[in-house]
Amino acid sequence: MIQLTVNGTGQSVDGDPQMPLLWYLRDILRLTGTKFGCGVGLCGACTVHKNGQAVRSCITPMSSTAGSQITTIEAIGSNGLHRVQRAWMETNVPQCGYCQPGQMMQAIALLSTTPKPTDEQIDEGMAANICRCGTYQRIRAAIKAAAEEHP
Amino acid sequence: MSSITNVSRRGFLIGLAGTGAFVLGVRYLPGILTEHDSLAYRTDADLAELHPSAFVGINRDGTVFIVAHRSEMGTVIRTTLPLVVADELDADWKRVKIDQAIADRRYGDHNTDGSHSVRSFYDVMRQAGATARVMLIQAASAQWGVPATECKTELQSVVHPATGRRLGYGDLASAASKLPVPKQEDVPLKAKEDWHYIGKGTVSCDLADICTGRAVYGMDAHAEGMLYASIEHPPVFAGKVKSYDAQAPLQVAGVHQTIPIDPFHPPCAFQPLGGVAVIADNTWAAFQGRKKLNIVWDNGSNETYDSDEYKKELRSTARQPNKVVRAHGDVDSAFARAQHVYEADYYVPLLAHASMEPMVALAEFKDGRVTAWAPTQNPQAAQDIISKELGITKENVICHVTLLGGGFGRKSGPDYVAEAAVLSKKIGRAVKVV
Repeated sequence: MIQLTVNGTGQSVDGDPQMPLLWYLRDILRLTGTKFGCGVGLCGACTVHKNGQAVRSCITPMSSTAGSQITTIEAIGSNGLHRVQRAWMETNVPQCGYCQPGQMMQAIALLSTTPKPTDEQIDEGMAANICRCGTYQRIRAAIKAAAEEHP
Repeated sequence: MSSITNVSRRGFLIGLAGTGAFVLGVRYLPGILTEHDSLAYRTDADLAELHPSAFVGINRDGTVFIVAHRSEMGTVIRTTLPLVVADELDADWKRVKIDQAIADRRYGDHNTDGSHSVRSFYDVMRQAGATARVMLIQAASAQWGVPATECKTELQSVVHPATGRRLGYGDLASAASKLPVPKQEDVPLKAKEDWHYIGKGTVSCDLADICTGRAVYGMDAHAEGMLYASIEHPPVFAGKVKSYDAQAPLQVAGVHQTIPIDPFHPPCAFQPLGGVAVIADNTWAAFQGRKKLNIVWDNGSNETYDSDEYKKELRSTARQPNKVVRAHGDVDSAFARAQHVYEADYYVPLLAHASMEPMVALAEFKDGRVTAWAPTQNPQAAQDIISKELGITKENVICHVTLLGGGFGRKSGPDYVAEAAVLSKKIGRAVKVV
């Protein structure tokens, strides 16, 4: 039995400990804001926070989540929208939008360690999150806008 | 429910049959819901008090339903075309609800492929909005006993400036629904300077949902009691299953069963490619079960396909004389006279579409009817292939369109939607194929 906290709610999981967190979130808890893209940690669409750090949920086995705090796009704005979500909307970042929950979770983690990132720091911090529509310029602008806003 | 159309479904369908596949022939489509109508599903626009066309409905509470019949994959088309309707209707965008169309030929061709949605439907949408607006003006002028020419519309209401009277669209919906739908030539369009929305940069109606994780893509579709499936496809095109282990996958907790899928009947087009499906309680279990299938394949004649050989063939074909598509100037003599000649060969490999959201679909076969939810660019193609695969009529295939996590043309092919329908029929439950 694995105990963990997802979006502030305690959960006990009695299943395949090798099941990636992604499928626990999506199929069991039905938190479908976290997306499945590649399944092998290459695209970043499945990014969530584990104890505040960005992880690829598609390659994070449930066994490694014991005792951890998981946060997904559905709960990242504890009181309404997170400033990164606001910046994403104000900058009109998404096209198809499929990668954007992962992009935002990655951006939030980046801002927590680098509150005022330069273009280079944004490019480096976001490099492993792919957007097939190519919204990278707007992602960068939205991160800068969010960085200007007080948390 | 009121029905104001005098065009029978049959008459309408005959009229539609003459239009080209590219929908340019489709102009204003009249409302076609009659007592003869056999649609298995109706949109909110269809069910609204006033529904002068398949694209528009207005309720007594003033809610305006506008049907989006194109698929949303990031171009914002699902917002753009309804916005055009709203502009011509003088509707308040805040009162508009966008109704995603299900596959139905009354909308013309749904296939959102080829970057022509605005070009092909701009006029249709303007006409749809303006027609409803004319009917609302007529209803108000009749109620006030003044000429329609003295009335005009402002956001969401008809006004009579001379007397300062005003009626909201909701208040007029019922009376307007009893009027005949005006002819296209009696429907004036707005002047460009009167546009509220067109060209003003309105954001996607899905923006907030996308940014909060609430947006529903095909990957996120859900039906009560559904199972999950994952399919091991032939590794070589047109390959067939010789044998596989039907038992080993069942050792994976959560796996229910394995199901072989028939190979396609040539030509393939977008039929399912065949293979073996693993049905499970969750996607992960289905993936794990697939690894234990131990399929022995008959790869068929494509087994010897060689990319390098094929490349040589293409190169040599490209140098053969062939049909001239465009001739401009005399290249040979220009080369002969040139001081410097630069020559280069360009070759690009086959590119996969690589949408980030995989080919995924949910289908439920129940009581002789399929209901599917899919991130498809072409729900009518899904309707066609499912009706063929399952031997049911197209009217018995209801295809809902979710958001698409990228399409790039690949999601115009409906093979993956057919797979879900075929599997659902076989297992008797709703199933999502990932």
